[in-house]
Amino acid sequence: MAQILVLDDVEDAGILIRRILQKKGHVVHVFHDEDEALRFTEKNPVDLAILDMNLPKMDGLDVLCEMQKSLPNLPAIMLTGLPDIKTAQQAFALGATAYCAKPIDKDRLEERVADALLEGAHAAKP
Amino acid sequence: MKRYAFLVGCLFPLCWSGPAWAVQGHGQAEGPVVHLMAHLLLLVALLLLLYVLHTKPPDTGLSWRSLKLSLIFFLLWDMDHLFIHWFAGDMYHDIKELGGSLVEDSFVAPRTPLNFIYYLGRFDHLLCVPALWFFTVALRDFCEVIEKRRQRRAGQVS
Amino acid sequence: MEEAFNFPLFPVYLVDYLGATVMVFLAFCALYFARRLTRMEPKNILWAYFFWFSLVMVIFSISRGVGHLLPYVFRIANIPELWDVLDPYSGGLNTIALCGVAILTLHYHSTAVLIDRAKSDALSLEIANDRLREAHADLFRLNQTLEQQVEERTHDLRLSEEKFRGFFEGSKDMIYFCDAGGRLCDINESGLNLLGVERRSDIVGQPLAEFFLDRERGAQYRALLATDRQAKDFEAEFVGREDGPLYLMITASAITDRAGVTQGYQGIAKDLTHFKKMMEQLVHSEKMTSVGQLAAGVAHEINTPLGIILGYAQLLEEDFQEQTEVHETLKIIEKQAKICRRIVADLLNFSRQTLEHNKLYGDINQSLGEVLAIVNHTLNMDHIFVHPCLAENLPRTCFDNERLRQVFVNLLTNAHHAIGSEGIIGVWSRWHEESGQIEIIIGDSGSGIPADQLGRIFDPFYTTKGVGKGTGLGLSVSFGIIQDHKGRIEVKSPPLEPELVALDMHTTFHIFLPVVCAGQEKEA
Repeated sequence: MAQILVLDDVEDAGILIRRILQKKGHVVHVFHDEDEALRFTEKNPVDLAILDMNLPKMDGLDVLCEMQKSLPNLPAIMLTGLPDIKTAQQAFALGATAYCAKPIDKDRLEERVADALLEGAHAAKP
Repeated sequence: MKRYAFLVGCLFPLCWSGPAWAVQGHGQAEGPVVHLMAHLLLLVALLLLLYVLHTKPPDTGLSWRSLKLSLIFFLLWDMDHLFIHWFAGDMYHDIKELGGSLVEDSFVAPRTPLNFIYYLGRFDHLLCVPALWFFTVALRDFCEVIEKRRQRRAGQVS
Repeated sequence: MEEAFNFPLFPVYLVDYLGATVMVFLAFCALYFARRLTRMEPKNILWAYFFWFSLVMVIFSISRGVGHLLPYVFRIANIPELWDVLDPYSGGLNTIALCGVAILTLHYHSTAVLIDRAKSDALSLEIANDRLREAHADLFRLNQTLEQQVEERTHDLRLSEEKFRGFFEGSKDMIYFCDAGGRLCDINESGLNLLGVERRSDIVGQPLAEFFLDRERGAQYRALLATDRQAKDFEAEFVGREDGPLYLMITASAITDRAGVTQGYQGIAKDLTHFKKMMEQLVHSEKMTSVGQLAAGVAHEINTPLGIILGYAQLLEEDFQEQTEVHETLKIIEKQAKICRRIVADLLNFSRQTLEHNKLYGDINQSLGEVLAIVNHTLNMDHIFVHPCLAENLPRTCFDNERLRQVFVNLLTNAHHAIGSEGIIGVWSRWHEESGQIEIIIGDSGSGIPADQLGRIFDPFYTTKGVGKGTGLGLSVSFGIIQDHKGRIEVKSPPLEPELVALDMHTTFHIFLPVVCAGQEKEA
């Protein structure tokens, strides 16, 4: 039902999330290159971004920043292999909806996505 | 002290020494001989002293010239006496002519060189006065030098 | 016959008269000068001679002067014959006078020679006397200065001795002297303290090699000294302390006499125990840090494929819900993947860098109490009893309650495993005021830890438990947590304190935490 963008430098991880979320009926766009993902968001609006924090070219939060230029109030779920409070605070400051540790549970992911979309919908309402 | 007394004692009779004749005669045979021996002894002593002063003066800082001169005159005086006594003997004792006064006194003798020398020899004071004069001068000089030395030494010390 | 000549006698008389007067005057002058000379230089025999000579001349001239008058007096008085009578006497006296002067003169010579000899003798005597006086003065001076010099030397020596003695006794390192046989002759106070000996007399005479813990090492030390005549920075473990090993670093050299023969040995030994301990701890923590970094890297890498495995397994589970066997298999895969996840999480936990998270002011005794309350039940089931002995004067400090409790749980779990069943666990808390440290001791009456394993128990993945029973990370994590609190954790097996031994403790873990007052007043 929603347009979801997934950005992770590991292809299989991205595919896994797509398979999980596609089952729920969402349209998932998987990217493993930051520039490609950004170019996509410039032209195509998405309802949710699931971003890996640790990317080769840019930091996950920087990607979020860039995306928010074209899509303000974009809900985002940050995934990280090394969770720590400082980056978590930064993420929430930028407007991320969730900050999760990898590897993420299927069920938890589904929950988080649902919550984020709901919030996004609320935010979008005038 | 004893020596002093002895010498004075010896010399005292000299107060009654010889008459106007500086050179006197001796009556007996011993007299003249003893007198001659005494003069000889004095001659030897004076020569010895002169010799010592000439070769080894006791004090090189002093001038011995006056003293030596004095000793030479004393020697001459002694030799003069020797000559008078030895050569002339008593013979001339009798040849004097006593005049009325002292001024007229003379002694008559043949006009021989010996007699002339004898006559000259009678002026023996012309020898012993210079002798004593030089002796005194020498002593005076010595005094001056010694005095100066003492002053210098005293000056150095102080 | 020659012509007779008239030699006038008047000139003669005149010369005689004048001459005689002058003679008297001169003679007196001569006498005056001679007297002055004798006064000025009384020791001069020449002046004495001149004086007598002058005296004779005075008397001689006076007498002759007077003698001139008498003849004229007699002549004028018309008794010239009287003069003739006196004449020979006066002549005789003249002669005597002449002899007198001559003898005087001759006498002067011999006397002069004698006087000269006496003078030269006196001079050499004076010179000798002067020399003697000088020598005496020199000797006296030397004697005085000798006394002074001896005093000075003694003083210098005493100062030097005091300086040396002060240095020797005051040095905090051990300084010792041995004889040629390696037996101790002298050792300073610090040395006695280090070796744990009360009195110097107890140790003097014993060979130093006896104090080496390892005989081999002692022999090596002696061999080194024998061949090289010195041993520089020779490290060895020593007998001495009750509370642990004594590491000393010795620098020694041989004392030789002029012929090069060894008379003895002297050395300084530095106590390295503390240093060594610190080094060991540093190495350990370095090891831990590098392991931590490795762990972090590995964990991070593993997380990704792990997540994917877990994810796909879960996906498949959904798809194959009806087919039980496949579903069971997939469930097992999921479970194991989750176990892996937990391991990785633990590992990451362990490798975390120091962050001051959640340190709050609190009471450690309270934390201990809470933990004990939780585990007591489990322990009692295995007939293990806890003996708490918590200090009442324990001050409050800042600590991460959650994590410190994790440490206590860890240690108590280990204690439980060590005992198995039937035993005692002792828990102590102490306040060391002088060092500002809180000490927490958890001991067990279990099997104890062998000496060769003691150094490795804090290493990550080191475990004596069977496979699957433990990750071996518990103690490493605890170590990290305590380090994070700027404290240290030590293990003793067996424990050293008699109090602990008395309670049948075979292994004790000691946690030292510095009291930190961060200013936060929030209660934990």
